[in-house]
Amino acid sequence: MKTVGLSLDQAPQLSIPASFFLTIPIGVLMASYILLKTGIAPLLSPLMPHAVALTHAGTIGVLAMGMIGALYQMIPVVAGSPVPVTRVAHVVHVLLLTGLAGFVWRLLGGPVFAMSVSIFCFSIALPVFLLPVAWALLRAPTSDVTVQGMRVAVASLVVITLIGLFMAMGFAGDNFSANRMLWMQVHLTLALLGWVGGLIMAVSWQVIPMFYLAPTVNNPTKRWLLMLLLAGLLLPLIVVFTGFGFDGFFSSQRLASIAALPAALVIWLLHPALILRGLTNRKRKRSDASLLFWQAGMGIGLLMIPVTVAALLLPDPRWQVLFGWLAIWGWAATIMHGMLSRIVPFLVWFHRYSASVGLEVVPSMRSLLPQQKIKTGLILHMSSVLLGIMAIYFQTNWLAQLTGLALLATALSMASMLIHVLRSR
Amino acid sequence: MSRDLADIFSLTGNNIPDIIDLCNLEAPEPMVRILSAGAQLGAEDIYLARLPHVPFPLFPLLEQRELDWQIHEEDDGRVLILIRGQA
Repeated sequence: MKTVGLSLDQAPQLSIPASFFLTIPIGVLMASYILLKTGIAPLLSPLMPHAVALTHAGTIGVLAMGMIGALYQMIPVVAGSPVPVTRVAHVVHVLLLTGLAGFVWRLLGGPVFAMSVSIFCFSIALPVFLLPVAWALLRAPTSDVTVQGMRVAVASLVVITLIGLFMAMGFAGDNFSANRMLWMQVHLTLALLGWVGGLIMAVSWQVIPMFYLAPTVNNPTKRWLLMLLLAGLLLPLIVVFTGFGFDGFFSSQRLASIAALPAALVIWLLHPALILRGLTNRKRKRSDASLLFWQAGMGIGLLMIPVTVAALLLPDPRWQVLFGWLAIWGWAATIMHGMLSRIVPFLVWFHRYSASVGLEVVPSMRSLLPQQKIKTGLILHMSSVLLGIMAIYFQTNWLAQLTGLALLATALSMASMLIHVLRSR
Repeated sequence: MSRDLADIFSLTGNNIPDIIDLCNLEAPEPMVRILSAGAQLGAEDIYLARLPHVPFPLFPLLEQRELDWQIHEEDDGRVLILIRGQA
């Protein structure tokens, strides 16, 4: 009857998730630097190299850092399956940082070899991350929906990395012969809906009831959501690999977008609606600043479907830029910022104090991070989201640079929050 | 239910404890309650609690304290954990 447990040496050291989390502010600083240096250029059109650099500062520097760090920590905790050779996580971390630096450098006008270095780093980082994590996920003693959601997210990461590497060769001196718009469309769908959305959804099923006592979504509903998500991820892949499409309105690119609809509905409509309803009906309505991040992020998530439709159908490129800005910094990064403010104190408390509970007096988890620090982070994060929207709408350099300053302040606040918690003794 | 519990955890006689419901507590409070209770258990004492999910991170801490534990997953995903004091 005893479930297979973890031994202390199988659980990841705090330094593993912490090292990934600590570099999230560096990703935000990188985004800030791009806006301060180049002004409105990255917010003019999603296809400009500066826009691609800004996007990946967000997706790799911020989101992937948090998500990969969280996976190393959460797989043993949620799935009960230790990730083997966790020390290689530090190698993955260094490769991601180096790869991102090379990628951004090249797109801001750096030499071609910077992109080659980046492609090399990401090509190595993927298997070094994937093999131990996939091993742990596949042999988990539980097959609950959170674990299944993590599997979907990690599988999506593999596909988007391969597609991303394929497209990055176009910036490294090689020609990109395929239909770049179609491949980008599918890369974006799997990245935002599969990797980011899949993991946010799976993790929310675990942490929302655990930290906020919100009613859980029942298992049959979770399974349906997961199946719809999976359908919305596989169908666009079929379009891209078969090249299926027609001349005119139903081009391959548009069909790939339509095929992703089930996934978009799950991630940007059903899941936010269910989470917001759950948070409204939570059993103990205790005030908590991290909860405001979830509410803000899910609220922005609900805006994503109309913005996506506008970005796909309207000719004004500002809709496409707004889509990226809201999806990466407004929806996903807001939720991640909120999760950090709750999960990092939990991890620090667990690693440093849980072994002494009942034997000596230990501080409470909530005492490790003052609520005011979380609220300051929320105000700065939301200010930067709003300033970014204004910059995209008005297309002025000074608003874009002001957004860069707001990102700088958010990065510093985030770093201060993380350092404060991680230094508690 | 008592009979079921006796079967599930192989309990005998009158030593079937009440179930402490920890489902309505925010993390890490259930862990705090279990570890605090575990620290007070005598040789023949038993502690039984219900949790919303399998508490994987708790297991190494219980083993570190040489407490014997058993879990039972209920149909709705909640979990019963039984802890016995050190012999």
